[in-house]
Amino acid sequence: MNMKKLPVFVLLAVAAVLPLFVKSEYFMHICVLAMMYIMLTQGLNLLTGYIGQLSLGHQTFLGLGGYASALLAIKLGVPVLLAMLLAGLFTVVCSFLIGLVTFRMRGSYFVIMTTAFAEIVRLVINNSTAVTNGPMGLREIPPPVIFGLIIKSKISSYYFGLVLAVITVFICYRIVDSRTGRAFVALREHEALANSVGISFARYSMVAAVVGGFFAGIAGGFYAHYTHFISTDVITFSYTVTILLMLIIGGKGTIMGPVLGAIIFSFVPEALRAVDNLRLPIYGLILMISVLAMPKGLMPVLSRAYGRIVYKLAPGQKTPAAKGE
Amino acid sequence: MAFLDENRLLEVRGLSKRFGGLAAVQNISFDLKKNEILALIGPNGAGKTTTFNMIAGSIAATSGSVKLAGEELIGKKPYQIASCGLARTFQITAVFFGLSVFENMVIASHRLQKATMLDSILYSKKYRQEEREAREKANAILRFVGLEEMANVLSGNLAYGQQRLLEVAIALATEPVMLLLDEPAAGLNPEETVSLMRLIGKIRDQGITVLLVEHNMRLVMEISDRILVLDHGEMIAEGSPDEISMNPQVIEAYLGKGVEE
Ligand SMILES: Nc1ncnc2c1ncn2[C@@H]1O[C@H](COP(=O)(O)OP(=O)(O)O)[C@@H](O)[C@H]1O
Ligand SMILES: [Mg+2]
Repeated sequence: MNMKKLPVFVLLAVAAVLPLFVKSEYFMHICVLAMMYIMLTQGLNLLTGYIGQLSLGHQTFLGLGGYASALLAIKLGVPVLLAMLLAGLFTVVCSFLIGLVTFRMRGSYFVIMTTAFAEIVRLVINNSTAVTNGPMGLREIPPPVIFGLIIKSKISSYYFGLVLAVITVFICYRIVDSRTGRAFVALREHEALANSVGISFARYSMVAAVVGGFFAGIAGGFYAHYTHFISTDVITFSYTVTILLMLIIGGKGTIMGPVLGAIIFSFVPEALRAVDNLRLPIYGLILMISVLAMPKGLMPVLSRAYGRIVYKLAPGQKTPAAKGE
Repeated sequence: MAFLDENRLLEVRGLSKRFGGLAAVQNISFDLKKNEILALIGPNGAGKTTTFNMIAGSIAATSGSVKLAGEELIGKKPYQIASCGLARTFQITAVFFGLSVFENMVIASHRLQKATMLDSILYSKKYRQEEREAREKANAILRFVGLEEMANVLSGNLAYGQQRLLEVAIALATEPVMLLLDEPAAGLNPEETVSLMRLIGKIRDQGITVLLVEHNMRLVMEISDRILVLDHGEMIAEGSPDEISMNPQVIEAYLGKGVEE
């Protein structure tokens, strides 16, 4: 194992044994939600971090996935794991269709379109009372069952989420480390030049949106079957702000940055619970300070620091800073 | 490939562009032979870049046809044209400034790599082999253009002349059949210009056909096989460097504009 990947495995090991040391149900609950946020931010990161198109509609797919999975399980009795997978495929189709419209635009027009779609989806769900139960949301959504095991406790949900999150991060990492990921970055860095080497904006934004949509859909299913409840609250702007904060402060356009961001900002709201009505202003402040202090987010700062430590301990080792091999 | 006639690797017919009332390019026709270096010259504003961009697909032609190896390029998008084997550089330096020189080069292998997302997720043999090939090719091309020492440097930190070389290297990494260069020597000092011209000769020797846009006539005299002169959007002359340098119309176009350097 090389030194570059060591911190990732350490983090994974900590995550694996965490429930042995944490006795608070509430703490575990936050950890379960963190897994959902990891799936969500990884997907958004492809489009917003790697290609550089700011989407304010990503949580739409969380909602769509949650509803799709819940309805399949409740109304049609589809086994939950299968329902979640189908929900992921459903959000793939949705992000493809929405992408057909939005990827004709760039920059601020794109941003506005994504917001508009989020709002449209929210209104449609709220008004389709017969199917979705409207603003009341869907209740008594059954828990996942894996090999006869009901995933209902905080700990089992945590491990289920951890597995899903690890798969998500791994797949995104593999995509980014390929010609597809390089095409994303090329489009972000210089679109005309990217075109001139054969890279199409429409094609690769669609790839990013569809992959991101899939994981958001799975995350939505995970969330719905974990909390046994879903409403259009998850499609509101405050979710958008939260996942963008995770992405930007963690370090968009890196794989581990949004993971750290997701973990940190799953806990920050709890720390701010006492001053809940100041939450958004405080978020704004945190965002401003961190963008000024570390414009590319936490990840580059950490990886530089780690590189220096490794270099001190074992000069000549390959460090995260020594790239371009 | 249904293409047989090596005398018409590129066929340009009746190419025109209007910007509102301005006829920037008017009814231009020419052919490019395989392995030829053709220079498109003319004073500033003659329509060279416009012609170039119509061929590369980055601006839409008003009318006309451009065929590469028999395949129509007009109507295709730039990324599709790149996939036909036509590579280009930009008049204003374009590299991926935020990435290392090496990363720039690996990106440019895009159209040659066939591994799917599933291949890279599963770390398949095909994926690993293509990645290795892309890295090897990146190094080989960097050596070819003389940037091998710079592989790990952020391309935004390169000297201007090196960035222009990197642009050419990126274009070469797409393994083109034809290379379009828009004023590659602009802003270079005399030494850099000489080595660039030598590099263009070497590129042709690799079997790549070159269309070179330049407004400095003297520069292209040495390396071009044939020269095409544009003025006010019209083709006023075509011929060997010797013929062109003695053509009174060309001399007038240049002296009249006072851009001879
Ligand atoms: N996008 C544009 N809109 C309007 N006019 C343009 C545009 N691009 C070029 N032109 C005009 O077309 C003419 C040819 O320009 P160009 O092809 O850039 O010349 P060259 O590259 O030979 O210097 C010039 O008169 C220029 O002002
Ligand atoms: Mg020009």
